[in-house]
Amino acid sequence: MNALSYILPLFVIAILIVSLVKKVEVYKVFSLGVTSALKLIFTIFPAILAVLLMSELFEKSGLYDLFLKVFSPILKGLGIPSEVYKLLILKPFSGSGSLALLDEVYSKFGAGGYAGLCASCIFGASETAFYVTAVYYSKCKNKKATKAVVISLIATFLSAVFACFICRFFT
Amino acid sequence: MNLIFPIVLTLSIAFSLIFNPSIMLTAFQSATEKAVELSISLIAVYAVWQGLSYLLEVSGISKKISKIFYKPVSKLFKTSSEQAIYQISLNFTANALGLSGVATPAGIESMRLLDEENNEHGKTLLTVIACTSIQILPITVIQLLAKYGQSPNLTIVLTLISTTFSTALGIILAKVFK
Repeated sequence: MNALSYILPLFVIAILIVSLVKKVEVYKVFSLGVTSALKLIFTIFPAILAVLLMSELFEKSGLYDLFLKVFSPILKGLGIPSEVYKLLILKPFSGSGSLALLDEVYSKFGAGGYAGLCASCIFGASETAFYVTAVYYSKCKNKKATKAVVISLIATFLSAVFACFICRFFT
Repeated sequence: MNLIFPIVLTLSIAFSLIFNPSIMLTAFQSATEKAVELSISLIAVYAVWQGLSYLLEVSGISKKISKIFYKPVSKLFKTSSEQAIYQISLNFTANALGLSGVATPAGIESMRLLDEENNEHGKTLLTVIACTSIQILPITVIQLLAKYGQSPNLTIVLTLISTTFSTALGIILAKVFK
């Protein structure tokens, strides 16, 4: 954490000094960048809304509970502790939802225990796959992202199994 | 998305009919509200960094950065576009440092450039790498652990091992199923 808090300010200073030396119109270029950020939001808004709609309906409709019931025997067989099932299934759908679940695992089962460690690894080793994919493809003409989503889900799932396995040796 | 979006929506709405048909409207409302809130907060995340990113490019620093990453990135992604390589390098570096304000716009731009050269493999690879998270320090987890008075050291090491595993596996799978 400490090194990082020095690197970034130094980096920003470097950008500004190099820009000044090269006689870049710093303020004008900076403003163009800020405007592009605003435009970017308009481009990705449909993707954000679509993913949030999916995660909201998936959670509230009860489909999520059904998923949980269907998959828990498989997860159990793979040695994943039952405390983190919910987190594992919700993580690809919802960032804020899975953060709340991580908090719940810590408060119920302890942040330093086996379940807590597994939960941290599952949370830290993956992103909200559906959200990232939708946003990343938002400026592409060819939006066929199925392969990317499937591979990401398989890789993060297997890494969760792997993480729960190695966490055993540290608790 | 043309497939996943309708399937998840149809299944969820159909399923909700069995137990509680009223959830659809509340879900529409709350999802839209959340999307608006998130977008506004994303403006705050992106704005300053995009301003600085533009300076990086105009001042020519970006060219130096892409030279460092040229060989590995062009090999992995099978692209020779200097601009794409720069955006991909920026995406990786920012993701690794946990700077999503830089990483996401750079990722979207990389995807657009790869899309222009019809590099489907590169697009899949970049998305998989982003989804399997290459963050060095899991900052969100560390902050939450601090709330519970828990030392993050063991968690950092184990998370780094798992995320390296997931990213490596993702790259291998993307290469195998090209």
